[in-house]
Amino acid sequence: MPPAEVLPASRIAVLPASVADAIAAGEVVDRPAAVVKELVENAIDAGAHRITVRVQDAGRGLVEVVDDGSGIFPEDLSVAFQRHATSKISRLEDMRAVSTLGFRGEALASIAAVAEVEAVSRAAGREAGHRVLLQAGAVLESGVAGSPPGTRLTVKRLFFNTPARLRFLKQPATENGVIVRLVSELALAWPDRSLRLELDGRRVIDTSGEGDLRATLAALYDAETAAAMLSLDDAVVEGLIAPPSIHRATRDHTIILVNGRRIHHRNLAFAVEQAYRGLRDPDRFPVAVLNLRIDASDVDVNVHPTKREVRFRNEGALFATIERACYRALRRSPVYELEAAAAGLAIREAPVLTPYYGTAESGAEPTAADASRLPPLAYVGQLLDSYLVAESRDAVVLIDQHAAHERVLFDRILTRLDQRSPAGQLLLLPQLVELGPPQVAALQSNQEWIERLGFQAEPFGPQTVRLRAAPAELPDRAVADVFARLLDDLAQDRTPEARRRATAALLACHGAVRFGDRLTAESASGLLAALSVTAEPISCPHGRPTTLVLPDQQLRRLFRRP
Amino acid sequence: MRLTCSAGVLGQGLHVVSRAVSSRTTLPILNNVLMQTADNGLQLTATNLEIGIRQTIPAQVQEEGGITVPARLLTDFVTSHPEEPLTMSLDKKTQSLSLKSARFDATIRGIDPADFPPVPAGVDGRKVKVDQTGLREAIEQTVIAASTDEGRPVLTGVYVQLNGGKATLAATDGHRLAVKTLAVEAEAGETDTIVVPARALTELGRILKTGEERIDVTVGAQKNQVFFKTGDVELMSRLIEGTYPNYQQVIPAQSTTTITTKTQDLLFTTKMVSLFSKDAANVIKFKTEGGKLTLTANTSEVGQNVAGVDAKIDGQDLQVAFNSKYLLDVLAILGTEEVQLGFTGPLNPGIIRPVGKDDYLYIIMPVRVAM
Ligand SMILES: Nc1ncnc2c1ncn2[C@@H]1O[C@H](COP(=O)(O)OP(=O)(O)OP(=O)(O)O)[C@@H](O)[C@H]1O
Ligand SMILES: [Mg+2]
Repeated sequence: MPPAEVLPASRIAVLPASVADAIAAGEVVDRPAAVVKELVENAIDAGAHRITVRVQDAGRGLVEVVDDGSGIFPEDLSVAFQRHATSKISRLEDMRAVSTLGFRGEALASIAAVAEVEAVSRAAGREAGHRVLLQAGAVLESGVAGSPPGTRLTVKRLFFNTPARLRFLKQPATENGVIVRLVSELALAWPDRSLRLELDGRRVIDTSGEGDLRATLAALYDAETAAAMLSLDDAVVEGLIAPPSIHRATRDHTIILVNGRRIHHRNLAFAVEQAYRGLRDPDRFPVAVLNLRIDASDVDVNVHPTKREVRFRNEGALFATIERACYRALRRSPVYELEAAAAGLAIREAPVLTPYYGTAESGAEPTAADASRLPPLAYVGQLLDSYLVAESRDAVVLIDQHAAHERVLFDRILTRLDQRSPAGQLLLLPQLVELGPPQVAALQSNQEWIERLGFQAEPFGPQTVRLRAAPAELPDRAVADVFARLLDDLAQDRTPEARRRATAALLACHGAVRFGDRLTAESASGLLAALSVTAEPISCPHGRPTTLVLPDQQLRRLFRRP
Repeated sequence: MRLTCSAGVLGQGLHVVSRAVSSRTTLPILNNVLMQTADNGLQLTATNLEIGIRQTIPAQVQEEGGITVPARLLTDFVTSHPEEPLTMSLDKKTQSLSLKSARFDATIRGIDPADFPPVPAGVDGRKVKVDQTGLREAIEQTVIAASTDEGRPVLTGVYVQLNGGKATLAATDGHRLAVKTLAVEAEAGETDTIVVPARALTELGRILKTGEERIDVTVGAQKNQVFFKTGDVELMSRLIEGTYPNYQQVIPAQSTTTITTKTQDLLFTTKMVSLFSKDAANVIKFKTEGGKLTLTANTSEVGQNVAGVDAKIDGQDLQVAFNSKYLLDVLAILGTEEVQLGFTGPLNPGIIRPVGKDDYLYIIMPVRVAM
């Protein structure tokens, strides 16, 4: 839909009953944000380039959407408010490949039924505009009116005749929050449209509509986040995902679109999360905007009246495609770099994250295999008994000794699990562990797995086991504790892959050297060598960075060297 | 305070006591060494609150007194100083110590000795005399097995049992165990058991000389301190509280396979082979078959190394794996030409002894692997 040229207005007609009946029925206007959603989607469908949303009193006072789209013919304006009146489909077959956001012909009717609505519109190519005023679905006024090209929909006294819905509205701040998120998501979904949102006269969102997703993200988040985002562009998946160092506390920032339509799909969002495995803290979630380019006939949007839920013809393949695309982009993600501000200096010229391995000379895109590799490191010393300092060709590198060792052990333990070659250190002093009933059950049903790790447990009373051997990586002190935690983990319902990684992460965490452990130069260099050959040296299995790189270039700047 | 002493002698004394100076402490005075005049010279004392070391060096005292000064600075100054007399005097008002010699005139700011934690000059308790050489060897052979992990404090110590004319020292980190017996001359009394921090014994080992001279040990009557005195050096350590695990039951009574071989040869071969086990929890495999011993280590990513060792093998064929570090540690301090390893299968404790001596044994717990 090239927004530069104006779409011609299309005729609106009421769908025949046979078609209308096939449409997923249900009320869509349950809160002010839903009004905003329907009106903005209509504007987008009308090819509008500039869309302005004004909200007062969290939508109870006013919701107004002004667009510069195709407009509506005067003779169609009141038709648009009838049930099943749409210009977007006309036959049942059309529903198999819907390319517009709307198609049900329900939204305007539903809104008009519960509010006072004024619509003013001028169709493309027409001299004058037309205006209708409706209340509770009935047309009160209709006539010629002056109007710029496009449409303005004004909704007042929302839910005035449905006190129940009014009562269910949340605090104004909450309703406003939902509206802001919704408009942000629409803006990200449609970077070629300029979206503005004004809450009580205050401009909250303003995107340029120049078609650049990164610029749109910068307008909604901040310039640094936008600059750090990794771009993805393959046949099916396009968009931006954050490097592992950027994350949020909720899943709300993983935005998945299907041909520009924001959908809520637990499983596909999980595909994105999966790509971060080992790079992400389990309670932190990615920032991502991904649009899936799927043939309209391979996706069914007629599942739920709000169209937030969709069905895919081949969800499994799609899951794998998304995960793979994200995974590839992430492995190209750069080594964590020390931010100048973190050193107590507010120097902002340097980007927070820049690839350590710039391929400026060759100009070639780094291959996935090389990009997250560490440069060759020469060990310099240990700081505060917690960090290792190393030197590389043109940078100072700080290493978190625990995180680094965790990464090394994690890989080792995974290999051992896969090769079914346990290394169970027999204990000179067997340890007794008390178990709760879920742990006992987990032990019974995971015997083979537990032994594959190197544990050897024998019953010692109904709720107690005696450990005779433990994974060789574990220090004696951690044995009983890790065993109990492992059983807790195994008691959870997990996929085999999740279980495999959770187990390795647990063992790695407890087997690794700790903060405060003094390391000999020999073991520290050994650790660096071992880290550099791991598959993901730049972060620990929990997703925290192992290494920070302070480029010499940046140091020079900090020391104000010419 | 005013005195003259030799820079060389002072340097040696500082070298001994500064082993007890904390390297990291939030209490600045613990970075200092206490210097006090005594009847026969100058007394140097340092402590990290766990152990304290004191040495008296000869000095001509003109005026009594004491001061504490940063151990590091003083040691660096004195040990770099030419072997000449040094005159020290204290300016009490500024608490600064001046050090004068033919060419140097230095002043070091100090801290009032009243703030220095007390390091007792001895304790009341049962007195024991031990041969220095024997004790040094016993320390070397046991501290290797002590844990370095503060998680179970009692295992960071060496268990000492005094029973008649015999002392038994034992240490374990939960994966291996070292037990040494030693003849002592003790005051009559009941069986005494204490747990001495391995770190304290390591420091004591450095101080001990090889010689006929015996060392005086006093186990504090409160069982919370032990006191060692050899010549002009004293070391005091607090003891670790807690019940030491019953390690006796772990020691196997007999073996079904015994391997006798040259200690140095086995040490060398184990070192070579274990280069290939660094990435695999240091696991190394022993295999006896047809009177031959083979050592193997492999890591999928690194490669493998297999080596044969000349050995005399009795009993059943066997395959057993363990952490090579535990074996290397003991072979390095065994002190006899030949070593004997005894096993009763791949999942039972292995026992290592010096051939020709029955005062030492070392238990090593195998690692269970897919053979
Ligand atoms: N801003 C607008 N600009 C131009 N035409 C519009 C606009 N808003 C609505 N229309 C027209 O009015 C019709 C009815 O809109 P309505 O939102 O009720 O239904 P829809 O968009 O077709 O389907 P849905 O109920 O799924 O949203 C649309 O099909 C469209 O032709
Ligand atoms: Mg619509």
